[in-house]
Amino acid sequence: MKAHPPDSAVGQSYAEPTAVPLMSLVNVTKHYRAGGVLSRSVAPVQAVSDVSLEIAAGTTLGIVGESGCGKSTLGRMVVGLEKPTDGEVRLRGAALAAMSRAQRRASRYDVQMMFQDPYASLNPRMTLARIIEEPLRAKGGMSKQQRKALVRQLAEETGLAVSQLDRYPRELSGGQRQRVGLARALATSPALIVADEPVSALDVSVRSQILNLMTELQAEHQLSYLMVSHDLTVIHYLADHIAVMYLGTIVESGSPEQLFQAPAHHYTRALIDAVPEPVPGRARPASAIRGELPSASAPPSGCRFRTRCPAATALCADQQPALREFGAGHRAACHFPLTEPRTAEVVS
Amino acid sequence: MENVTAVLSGEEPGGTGEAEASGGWLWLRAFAANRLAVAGLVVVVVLTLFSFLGPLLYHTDQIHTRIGMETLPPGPGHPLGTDDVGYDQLGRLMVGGQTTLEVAFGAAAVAVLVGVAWGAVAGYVGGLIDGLMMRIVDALLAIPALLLLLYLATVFRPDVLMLIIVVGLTAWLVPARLVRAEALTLRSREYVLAAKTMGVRTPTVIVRHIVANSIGTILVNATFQVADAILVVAALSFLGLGIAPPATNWGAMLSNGLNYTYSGYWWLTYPPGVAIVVTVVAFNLIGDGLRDAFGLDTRRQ
Amino acid sequence: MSAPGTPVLQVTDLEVDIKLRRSVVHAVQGVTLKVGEGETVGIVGESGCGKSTLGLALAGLLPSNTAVRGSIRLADREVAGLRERELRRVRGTEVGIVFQDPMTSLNPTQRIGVQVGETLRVQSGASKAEARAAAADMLNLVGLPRPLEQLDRFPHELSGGMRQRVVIAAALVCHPRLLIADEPTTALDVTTQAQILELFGHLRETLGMATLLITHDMGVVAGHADRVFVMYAGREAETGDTAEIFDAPRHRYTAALLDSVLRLETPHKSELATIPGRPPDLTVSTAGCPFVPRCPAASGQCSTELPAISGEGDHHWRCFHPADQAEDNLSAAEAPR
Repeated sequence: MKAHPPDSAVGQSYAEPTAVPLMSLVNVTKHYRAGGVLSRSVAPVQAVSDVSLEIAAGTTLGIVGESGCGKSTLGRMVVGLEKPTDGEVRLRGAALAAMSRAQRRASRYDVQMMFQDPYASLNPRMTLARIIEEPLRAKGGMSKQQRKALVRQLAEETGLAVSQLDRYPRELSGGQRQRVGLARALATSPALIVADEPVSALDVSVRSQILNLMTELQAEHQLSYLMVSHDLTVIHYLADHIAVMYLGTIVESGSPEQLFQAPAHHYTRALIDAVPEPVPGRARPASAIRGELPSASAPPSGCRFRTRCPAATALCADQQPALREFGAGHRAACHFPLTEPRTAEVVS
Repeated sequence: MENVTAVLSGEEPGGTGEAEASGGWLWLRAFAANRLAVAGLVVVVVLTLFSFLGPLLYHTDQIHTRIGMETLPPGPGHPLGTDDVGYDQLGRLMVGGQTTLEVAFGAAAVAVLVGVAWGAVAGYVGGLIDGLMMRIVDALLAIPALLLLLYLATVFRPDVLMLIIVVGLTAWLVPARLVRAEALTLRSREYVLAAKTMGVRTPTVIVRHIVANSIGTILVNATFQVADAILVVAALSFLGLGIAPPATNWGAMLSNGLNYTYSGYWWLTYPPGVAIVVTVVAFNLIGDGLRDAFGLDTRRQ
Repeated sequence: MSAPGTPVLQVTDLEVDIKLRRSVVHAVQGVTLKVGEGETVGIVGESGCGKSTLGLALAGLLPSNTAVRGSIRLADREVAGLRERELRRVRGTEVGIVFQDPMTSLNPTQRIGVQVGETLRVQSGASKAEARAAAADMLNLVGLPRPLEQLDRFPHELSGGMRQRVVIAAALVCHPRLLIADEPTTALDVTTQAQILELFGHLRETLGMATLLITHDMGVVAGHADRVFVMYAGREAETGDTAEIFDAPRHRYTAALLDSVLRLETPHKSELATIPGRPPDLTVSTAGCPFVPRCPAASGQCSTELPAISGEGDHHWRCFHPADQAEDNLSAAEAPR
């Protein structure tokens, strides 16, 4: 069991240096059964299919994709809100499913979540102090005074005025509410915070405030982030490593430079092209992808992206492409990638 | 455009001052601004004081019957006359009010407590347990409440406590359904998910997140429960079941008085009848006022 | 018919107050803008700046607890203060409106064909068959595959992107002179957004209507608007050609906003520029420039006097201490894609 550093120490690293990745997903699949016991004939919704990822301590993994790609489901599995239908979620090498109830409860405090909607993620009937305090109460082991002190400290760290702690969420702006969400996520000194679209609902000028704060806190506490977003610019800015998802599978992953300078997968290319850049007059490439997102309960055979891909052939319908290596840590699954793979070997 | 007024008032960047009152009590201000609702509240308070404090100021003998003093019309010494066994009618109204209000509040409390607990658990937990719990509710709803009450009232010796339990136990089904519906909506709210991620235990989540955010619905329903309970007790007494004399309630007084309709003893029927109607209307006004107050409040829940 | 050269939309000194329970929100405070034939004007601002209120006012869709002052001339005809009956005639024939959420913009119980053709039937008394034919044409124009089939479908059978196309088709079926689009792509995926924005461009070329594009997204405006109108706290901050606004913003808010926008070129985990503080409370009228509490260049004069509109040519701003002619930072920092 990990020894907890004294909570009153600011700037303390929450994660211990270790060779085993902090969080790993091994061949994780999540299928939802539509309907109840009697609808066995209805195809299940394949939200996530055979995804493997790793997050190292102190780093940020960004998952980018559009609606229905499964990124939110992935985030929820990491945090323990959902259990995978197949595969394993491992915290520091230990599978969550194999843990005893008590161990799993303890591991909860190590992985916390920051939510998207600042208006729905805080209980409107609780004061800010109570909201930030809640995880501490659930965890137990602290006196009322200790909790109060820690709440004040967290408020200061996240840029909230201590005088506001007695207010209710309705009196705050979107940015301030996200700060509360962040303070609450930090309360139990987690090693990993799953941030599900943390700035999508915020104004542009407020977005940068929150992103600055997240970067600061990461440096101070050696935090890891699993950042889930549809916004490529945010992911590019914050992530050390990026995975692009489409219809439940990873189509490409790599560092921001690799992905943006030499994307291998057509979907990645399309996402990059679709970003509306605030530079007038720059010639916009016509969107190369056509059509609509297929249903997650009936994904296309072979490569799931083939129905919208400009380069699809018959082969793409027959065989699902495997992930191949394109550079150090740069992988993509495509039969006709935009650049040449390093080797013809398949990555296991 | 979800809610035009909300968007237009710039609620996104943190309110435009509409929420100076700390968030929890906004509804109280809205309620206080509603004149009909406040009038209803005043009426209820006045009637409660009348029933409970009245006898301290206006002494009458409500235990011993007095032959020879029956059915006197209103006059000196008896502002509302006497009833058919000689009790002073005004004093009777007070005593009757005590019982009526006690049973009504008590039954409403039982109904709300049981119903909220049942509905919140069913809605939050979901699945088979929810199915089972709600089928029980459906089954009980299918039984005509009045018949059930009649049966229970004949089996159990009706005193105030029994009446409270009996009426409450037939009334909890409605709040159960209402709260279950709320729980179904609320359990996928992000702040509930957040609580789960934090490892908050289920009972705490149900109380602090589900029930706390259904308080509007619950309060509104509770006021209507009181109104309903008064009518149910009146109906029961009307049918001859209810509390044994010398205790009485407005329904019993009304039922008793109706025996003398053709004798012209109006003071036996109108006072309790009016009292019932006024109280029920008052509670309905309060309920409507609360509904409006919370309706405004839940713009951004 | 209006004389050639008259703008499709001319708004002068528009003010909109919203009466809440215990306060009044001065959502729009003296806005003047014009949109010429076939022009696309982008109204940009963050939440609470009044741009949505402005859009609703122009469409005549403000709720009853509002008070409107000033002039709105649509195709040289005054529409501010018109009664609902007259407004209904204006909407649909002169002005088409597209809102943010395609889910709630369409009636889930009516077929697509009916909804798209409805305006035609109501406004010009077209027969069912004529309306249906026009609807099919429109659906084709907005790029819906197999338009004849789609006519009989219900909204829930379509995806978000397709629904938004249907909404656009419905708004344009009477060939209005002006299209007001309030955050038309915000609820859509990024790839769908790109397709819809392309569609707007295509429609501009084909139908020649003017567009008022209301958005918070600077990127959308950069690529699809001829001119930009930046709003802050219910007022105009700056307006001008898109290229000029982006290359050389003069109002301090515009400059700060452009600085804080995240781009693909923003260096990894660098310190981002922010605008400290929050947008002002619109229930409180203040003298002077509303941006003062957050402005790096504010002076005493700024707090007491509202800056008058100054400018060069088509480029105007309300600022006593505008930013200097900035070097083209953007082109210098552009990394080749």
